[in-house]
Amino acid sequence: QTTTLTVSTWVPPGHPINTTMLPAWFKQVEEATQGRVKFRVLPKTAGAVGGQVDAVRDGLADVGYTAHGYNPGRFVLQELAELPLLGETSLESSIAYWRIFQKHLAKFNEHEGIVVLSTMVSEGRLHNARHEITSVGDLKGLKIRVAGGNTIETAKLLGIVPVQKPINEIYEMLSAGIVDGAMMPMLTVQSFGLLDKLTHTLVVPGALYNSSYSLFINPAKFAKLSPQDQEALRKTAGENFARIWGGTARDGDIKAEAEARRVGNKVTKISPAFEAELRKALEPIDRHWIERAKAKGLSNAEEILKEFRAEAKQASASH
Amino acid sequence: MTVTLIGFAALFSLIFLRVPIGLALGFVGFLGYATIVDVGPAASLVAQTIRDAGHSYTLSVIPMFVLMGNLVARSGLADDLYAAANAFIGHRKGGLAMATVIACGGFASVSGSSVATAATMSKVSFPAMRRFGYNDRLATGAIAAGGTLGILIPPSVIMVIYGVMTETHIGKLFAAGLLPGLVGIAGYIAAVRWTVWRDPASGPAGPRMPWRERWRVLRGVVGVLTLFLIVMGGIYGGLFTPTEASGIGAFGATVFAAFRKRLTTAVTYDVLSETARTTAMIFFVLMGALIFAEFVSFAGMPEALVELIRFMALSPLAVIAVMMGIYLVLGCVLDSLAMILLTVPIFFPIVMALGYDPVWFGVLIVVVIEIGLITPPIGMNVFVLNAMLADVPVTSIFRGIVPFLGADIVRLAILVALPGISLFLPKLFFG
Amino acid sequence: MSELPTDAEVEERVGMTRIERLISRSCLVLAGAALVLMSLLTTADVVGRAFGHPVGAATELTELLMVVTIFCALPIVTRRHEHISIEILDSVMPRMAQRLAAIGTGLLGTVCLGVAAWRVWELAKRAFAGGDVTAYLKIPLAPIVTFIAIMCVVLAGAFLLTALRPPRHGR
Ligand code: NA
Ligand code: NA
Repeated sequence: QTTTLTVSTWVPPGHPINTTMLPAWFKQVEEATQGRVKFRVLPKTAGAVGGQVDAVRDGLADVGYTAHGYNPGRFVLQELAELPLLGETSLESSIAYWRIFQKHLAKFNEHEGIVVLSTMVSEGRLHNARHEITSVGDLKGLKIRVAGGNTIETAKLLGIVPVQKPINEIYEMLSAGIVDGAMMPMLTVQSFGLLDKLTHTLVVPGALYNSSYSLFINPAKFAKLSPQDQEALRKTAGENFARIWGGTARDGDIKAEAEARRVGNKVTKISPAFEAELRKALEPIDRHWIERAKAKGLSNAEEILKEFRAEAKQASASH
Repeated sequence: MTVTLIGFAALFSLIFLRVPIGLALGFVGFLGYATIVDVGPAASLVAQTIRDAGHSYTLSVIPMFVLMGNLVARSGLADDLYAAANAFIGHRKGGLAMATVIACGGFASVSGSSVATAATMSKVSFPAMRRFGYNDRLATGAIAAGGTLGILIPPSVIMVIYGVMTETHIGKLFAAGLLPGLVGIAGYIAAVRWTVWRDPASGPAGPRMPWRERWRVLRGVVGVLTLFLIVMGGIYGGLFTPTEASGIGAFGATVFAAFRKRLTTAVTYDVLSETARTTAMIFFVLMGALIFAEFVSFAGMPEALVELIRFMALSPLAVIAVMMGIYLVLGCVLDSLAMILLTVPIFFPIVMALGYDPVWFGVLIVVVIEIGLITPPIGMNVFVLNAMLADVPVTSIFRGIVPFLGADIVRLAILVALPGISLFLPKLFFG
Repeated sequence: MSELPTDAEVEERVGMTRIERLISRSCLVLAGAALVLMSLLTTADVVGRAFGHPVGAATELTELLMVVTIFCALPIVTRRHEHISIEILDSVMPRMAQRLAAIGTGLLGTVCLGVAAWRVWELAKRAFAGGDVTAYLKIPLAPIVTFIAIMCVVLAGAFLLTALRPPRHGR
């Protein structure tokens, strides 16, 4: 018999998560289970955007995903994947995150009450409407809309004035000059129609900041599936979905970047000297995470952070 | 679909038994959700909605714009507006009713809510109309209909919510509401004239005021005008966002009221208590509407509606017409917030796929929601008037509204046919 | 001018005891104070931002103040029979039926909000266990969810009082 799993999504209809990432995975699951498992995307986000973990845990939807940044304080260990300067792009970071998650993080059960199917990363950049950024000094005093997670800390360390306002008013804030720029993925700049406002983009290999996500399913619903269907779900999710996600995000960023250049925007890759400066300025973020991760029981947090970076490097070598 | 229909039937039965609308929506939504999914998830849905609905920065525009409106009303600015409008047209047949409509439009420019506009103007203009022998139907009809302008003429709570849900530029939406609001005022004035032409006794002429006196009274609008310019100017001048404008507006109105020496301890307590209670009332309905919307979403009504529209294979303009028809029907029975929460996620993607402008569609939705506020059997503005003017029965208000409804339908058709009316100002301000 | 009834008149009409009046006034003062703070915060944020020093926590503090306003005022609105409701059938329904409907409504509200309080408390326990905090000031969320759960109990109590003392006549 067939099981239809309800899916809750919270990004706008045209977002790559809805148009590419999830449909690709749905198709693979349906094929792997010979149509025994199907998906139904609910017309409306189940529960609140920031409450997706609770929504799936309590069965308001069977499958969902969240950005860990929506629940500050709950996913301390997952913040590993939000640290700056990780993998080359979203793809490498996503692959590394899933490997590290399985090996070291899953056992701490920060995702209590849900079954994690995959973990993912999106690379975030700094965009502004003012001038090209070539040193940390150029950032001083810029008013930047921050994106949650540790972007507030990142901003403060760089002398940026963080402005924490909902993303839906970003266009007004930029038009009016209430903010000078925003931290967001490159593809979001294009999909929100902000290419004419955010004319300067700073590209940092490994990202100025990252956002971590997880894809999960309600445990009772999962338990009801036959062992072979469970296996099919795990196989198509996991690293496979991390690759779909990371690859789509990377491709979206590349396309958006090309479009930005085409319309005459400046997309600047960071210089080695600037990168060294940045690395030094942002060092407290790593240290802060290591402290908190240790307090939560991850005694070898330093090594795991190193391992994450090594995994990401290896992932980028493998293709 | 059957479950959905039973749900709607149960909802209306409870509402007509005078169960608070929020409670009825939440309870039926809970039962329906439990039927389709399970009891456990349904209970969690209720709890999560209660936890999350109010914990919202964007929705802070609701209490802030309500507070601003209440302060404006208490500082006597609304009375000044009405006096000024009256000075110029009060001596005509139906003049006091026309002045009411104009003053409603003025008050709408500093109030984000239609219900608040109707409530305020009922205090300000109804006693005068009664004194001059206006018939209750015309008097209340003008206030109830004029009050609906509160969400069309900026600032507007409903526009902010639409903008947030659809990621539409809220500044553009505010600009887009202005001209249709003026068209609305013109339509309502025509409706008043038509009413007094049919029955001259319904709106006898008031005393004529000498011109010198008129100009003196006109100075009373300076207060409201200043506040409007601060709020809108700040948005367009890049000082603050539309959400922040509500907080700034509330602060500005506080300064105004203090300046006019109206803020005694008792008045301050009254204003804050009234605003807090109104906010709680709105959010109770909002929570219920969210729970109910989740049930309807899970039950598949949105998909069914989309299927229906696709099945009819209509031209783009006909699709818009059908949607407006659906809104008018829903508006008879649904609260404005519930309506927007339920339908926008369904209709918006369709409209975008047809290539229409999201700002224009936003204006249309606001106009149909306005109409819903005064159509029987459930019209919030009518109920507010009924609550404030206990001796005017609901049925007379509904009867008085008929000519205004006619004007509304004509206005809707004009706005559908001529998108330029809505889109001219946003283009002018934002390119 | 047809003025609205004063608080004292409303409290009299719905038969509030002295202790209920005290609670009601305190809740409303608290809710009102939150409103004033909201508007001051926004103003300070906007003015500060113009000089490069926005109030970073304004957004999340506004969210918390919203919760205070709504949940402090909800029980009072309930006790005062002020919820948005439709009285269109009142003229055709016999007195007795109206009274029964009012009692039924009160009881329905009591049960619904009682169950809700219990489930919100479950969410509060989750927030305690998960260590959820706000993004900027790292204010713990668990006490806030607990506050909501408690106010749901108060709200259930308010509904129960409306059932025990239904209004004699319409509003
Ligand atoms: Na308005
Ligand atoms: Na209606």
